Amino acid sequence: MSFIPGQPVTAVVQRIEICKLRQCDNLILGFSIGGGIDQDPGQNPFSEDKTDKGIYVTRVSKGGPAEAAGLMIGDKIMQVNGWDMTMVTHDQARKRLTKKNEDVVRLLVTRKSLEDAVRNAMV
Amino acid sequence: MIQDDLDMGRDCRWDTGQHSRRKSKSTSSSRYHISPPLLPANHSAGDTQRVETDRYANTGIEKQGGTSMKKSFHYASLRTRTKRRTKGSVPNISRRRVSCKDLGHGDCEGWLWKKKDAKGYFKQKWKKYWFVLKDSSLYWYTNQNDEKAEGFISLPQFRIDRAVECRKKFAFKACHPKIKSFFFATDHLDEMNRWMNRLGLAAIGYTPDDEMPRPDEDYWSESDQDDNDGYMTLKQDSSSSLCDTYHRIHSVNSSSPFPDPKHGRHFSSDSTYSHLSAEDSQQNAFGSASSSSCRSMYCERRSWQDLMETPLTSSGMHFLHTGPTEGHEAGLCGQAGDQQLGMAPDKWRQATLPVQYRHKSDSEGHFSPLENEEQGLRVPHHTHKQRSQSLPRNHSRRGPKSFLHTARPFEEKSEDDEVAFDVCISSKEESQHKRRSIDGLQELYQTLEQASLSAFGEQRPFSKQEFRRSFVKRCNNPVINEKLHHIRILRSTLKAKEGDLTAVNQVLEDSELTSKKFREWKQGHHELFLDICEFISSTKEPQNGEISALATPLIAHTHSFFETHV
Repeated sequence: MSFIPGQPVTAVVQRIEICKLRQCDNLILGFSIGGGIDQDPGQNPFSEDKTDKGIYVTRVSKGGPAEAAGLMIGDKIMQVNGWDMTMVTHDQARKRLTKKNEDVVRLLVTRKSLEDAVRNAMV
Repeated sequence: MIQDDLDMGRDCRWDTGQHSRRKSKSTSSSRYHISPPLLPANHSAGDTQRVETDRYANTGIEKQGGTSMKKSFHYASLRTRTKRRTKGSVPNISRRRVSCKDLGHGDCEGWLWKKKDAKGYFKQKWKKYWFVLKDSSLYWYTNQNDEKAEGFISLPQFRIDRAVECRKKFAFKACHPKIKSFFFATDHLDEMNRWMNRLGLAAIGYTPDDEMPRPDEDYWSESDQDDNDGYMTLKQDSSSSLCDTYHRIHSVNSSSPFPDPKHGRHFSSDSTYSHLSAEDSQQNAFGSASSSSCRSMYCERRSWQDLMETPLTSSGMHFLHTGPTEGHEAGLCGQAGDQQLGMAPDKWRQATLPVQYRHKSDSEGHFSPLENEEQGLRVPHHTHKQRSQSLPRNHSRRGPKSFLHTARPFEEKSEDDEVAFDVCISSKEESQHKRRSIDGLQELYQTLEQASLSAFGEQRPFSKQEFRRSFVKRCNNPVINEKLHHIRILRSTLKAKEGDLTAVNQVLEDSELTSKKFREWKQGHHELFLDICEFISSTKEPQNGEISALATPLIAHTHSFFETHV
């Protein structure tokens, strides 16, 4: 899953669609993100490559919409509604995910188990 | 009998005061030449007139000759009232006090974006309102159940156009050459076209009746105005209200956009009443009554409208002094007529001035209501000397007035508002000095003017509005603007540094500091910590010892790792 800057990223991704849950005035997704190009990638406990500045799922709340949609802790978010998430700041990612006028977010996520599964299947 | 007349005179004082003030206002500084030495003559004239007053009690002479002198006493109280009025509550609210339901289906209605007036310098917000176009008036409400319109404009004086300067895609505007522009926007092109079409029609399709803009009507009114107190509003709008006033005066008297000497003369002839003998003023009074017949017609309208629209709140009462109606003109103008009992009808029609004529007076000086009361109370004790006493005031009053008149237009053009600011302050200061030094006032005023003295040291700027206005003006001056920014930067830096200092002190002054505590502190003040490390490493580089060795790995961690719940 490592990549060379400037080169297209090849990754096995899973499509995940999360319907936001309305809590009072807020729309919630039920997970936490960490990472971003403005963050210290070395402190990211989920990344394999400690220079990876991507956005990672650091927490998934129990019974939340994200969990229901199949999002897992440690997933790396590649895209949100078609927007790239591999080269964004933490705040940009947050904004993409928490658009008030969007009830549904479509994520492309990748995780180690996926890659492993694919590799095993190909072998 | 005399007492009665005096009472009557006092009652009418206000309106007459307005009356003559309106005139003197337009004369600008032409009245300046009357100097205190003239006073004794006037004093004696006043005495003789005292007698004549009885005779002419019902002809409004008192009003023309005597009360225009007295006006100075009530001048201040007038101002508060005017203020109240301009604040708008009376006409503005009455125009807007139409519940959305009562308005019924307008010619065109719907949700539009409206650009809010920039409250802060950088803030320009659009807000959605429910708009209803009814005849030639456009009302807007925050929602459709509103009891009172958020704002309204009378379209005939506006020009509808696309607003390309706005960032909204489908924006259009209603421009008034003198007052202000309103910006609206829709989300769709066809909607915009529909609105522009309708508004444009409303703006040009007025009946012959409305062709002459009625001076008694407000062109627009908004809630924003009510947010501030009236005084501030006035300060804020003073420049626009000035234009407004000019405009309206001339919409009545001529079509020229700015006062020219000829028109000044027209008014100045009126304003000399106070210094003419009674007989002369009688003649003149009638002359003016006929010459300004059209004006009085408008004024009549005003008073009508007042009667119908003035909510019977204290502010309304203040202005009109509602009393037992004496059946004047079938009671239509009962309120106004009551105080002007015994005047010729034209006179009291004139006496009820349209509000815009009073705008000016508001911008002239600044009195606290307390002062006004004080002044008002003093009147009865001085009834015999009124003449001699009030003249110098009256006279000196014109000082600031004319000054402001000349200063205001300048202020509008000038980049540097300090001057204008000084004007306000000096006039304020002046008004405070007024009582102390009646005769020296002019001197003081002239000195101030010559020195263009700033009263900053002595007088603090008096309103938020004033601050804001000066700020906005200053921002137009790049040099000052830059300096201001610099000051702001320095100030915020200072604040931040002070915060840092307290944070550092937390650690330094903690005698039982543990490593755990320090770690917590470090996490809480991570950036500060990094700054300190950086600072230490940069300063101690030459003789660097263990500290920089310790700091370097820390600096490497330039970022923290945040987690955000979404």
